[in-house]
Amino acid sequence: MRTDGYGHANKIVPLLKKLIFPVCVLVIYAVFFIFSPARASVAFRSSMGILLNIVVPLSLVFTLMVFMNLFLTPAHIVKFLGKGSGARGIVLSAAAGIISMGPIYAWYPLLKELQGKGATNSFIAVFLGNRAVKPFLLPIMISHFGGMYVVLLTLFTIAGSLAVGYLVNILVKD
Amino acid sequence: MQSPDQNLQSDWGFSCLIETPAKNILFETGARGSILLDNMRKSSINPSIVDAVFISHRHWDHTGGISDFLKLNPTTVFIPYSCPEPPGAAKTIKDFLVKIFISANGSTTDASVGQRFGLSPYFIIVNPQTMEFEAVPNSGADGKRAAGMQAVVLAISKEVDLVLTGYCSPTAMKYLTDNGIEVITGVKGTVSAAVAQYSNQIHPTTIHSMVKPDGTGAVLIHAFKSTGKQFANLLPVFVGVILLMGLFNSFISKELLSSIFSGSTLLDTLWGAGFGSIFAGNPINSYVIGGELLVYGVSLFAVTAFIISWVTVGLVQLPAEIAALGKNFALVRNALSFITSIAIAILTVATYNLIVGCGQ
Repeated sequence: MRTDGYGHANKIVPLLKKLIFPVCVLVIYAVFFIFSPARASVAFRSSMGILLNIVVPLSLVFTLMVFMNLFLTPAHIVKFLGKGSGARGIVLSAAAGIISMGPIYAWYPLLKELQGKGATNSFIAVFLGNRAVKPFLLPIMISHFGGMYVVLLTLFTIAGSLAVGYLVNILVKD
Repeated sequence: MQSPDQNLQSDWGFSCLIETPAKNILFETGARGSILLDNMRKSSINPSIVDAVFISHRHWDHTGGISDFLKLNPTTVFIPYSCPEPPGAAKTIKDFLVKIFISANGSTTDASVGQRFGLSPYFIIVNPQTMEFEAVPNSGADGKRAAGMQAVVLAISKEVDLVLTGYCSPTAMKYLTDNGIEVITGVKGTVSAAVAQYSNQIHPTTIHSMVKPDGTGAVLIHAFKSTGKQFANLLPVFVGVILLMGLFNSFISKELLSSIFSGSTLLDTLWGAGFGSIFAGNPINSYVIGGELLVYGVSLFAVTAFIISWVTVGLVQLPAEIAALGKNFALVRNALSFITSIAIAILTVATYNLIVGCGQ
């Protein structure tokens, strides 16, 4: 735990960790610019093209995220998860997975707590499977793959997560 | 206790009369005073026989009838700390069954009160009458996302009545107060001093007033700030991925890719699922990479398996999942998710091709 004794987290280390990847890519760019400047500039133009294509869907994503932050929080979502039994519990777990945001590691403590409180393994598996359905990222997905594909993928992902939940229930003892 | 009568009005909420040899206690008051009083009349219960009213929590369907009842019988009311004092009560008693949730910099009541609600290393849950306490380490203290909300969830799940802390975001405060938990900010000193201070009201001026959630404006600004932070968090890796895809487009030949992705549906899908399982992070990156792979001629089967397994299978975070949810669960779930990602990819793309084929 990195805190300064007053409960303030040290933010520098996580920031440096996040920067490792882009800095490494920039170093590779620098090397290519030195040894193969023509192809490196093609690469850079290609990156800018990708970025331009994504600007509009990305701003839609931002708007959707603001709304989700406004109306949905983990406090709401955990109320769904682990509540009810049978079909109702599964539907609520799937819904919780779909509307959950943020990296998975932020969710582990909550899931652990729910598991301790009796949320079944299959509900947690259904929740984790449905995290692949990201309503707020749909604009980006549609811009890359088209609406029909996204609808089908979403339906099959939900069905797949239910299958995983069912099998986890059989294979893992609560 | 009165037995239910067919003529009673039904409504959302709860209220009952507990008759004991010593006292008659009205337990909860339902949602509406008119219905409560009408049902009492139909049950031949004179409000004046009630010696005390007991409210378990501040939800509207338990407290709605209290004002009308107290107009007829201004008696003693027992309420949790989270309830505002009902007007008209002869006496209001709050000193019962209270749990105080305090952000703290240590695991004992001698520790200082944590000044940031979500980021304090511990939460101490104290019964102010007995000073019995439970110290819960804050798993969100490292400042990762949703630390404040994890603390909110913990406070709600522990069914506390009151939160004492230095600072609490408007959003966290809104969800605490919406769940009937009182929040007092600006609290300093040790945990035990804070409990004593609040319980005895020795220096009420040093404690902020019963804080109500901030207005919609503050919550909206906070939502914007949270989203901005989430965007800022994903930006470095996102920019890295976009730059990398540029390099990929420029330097990786189609021949190299086709040596990996041979064109066999099953094998390509397997490769896609494999790559997706290794990588992790925001799925937005998987869409960008997947989109570029498609341009490069990699099959939609492989790209779909890649996108699904990116989120559902996590080799990188497997140790964290094992630690949180158990080895058996984590291994079985990841293995099943890997297989399912291949099945999802094949079903999705096959159906897509079928529909698109029919449409042409």
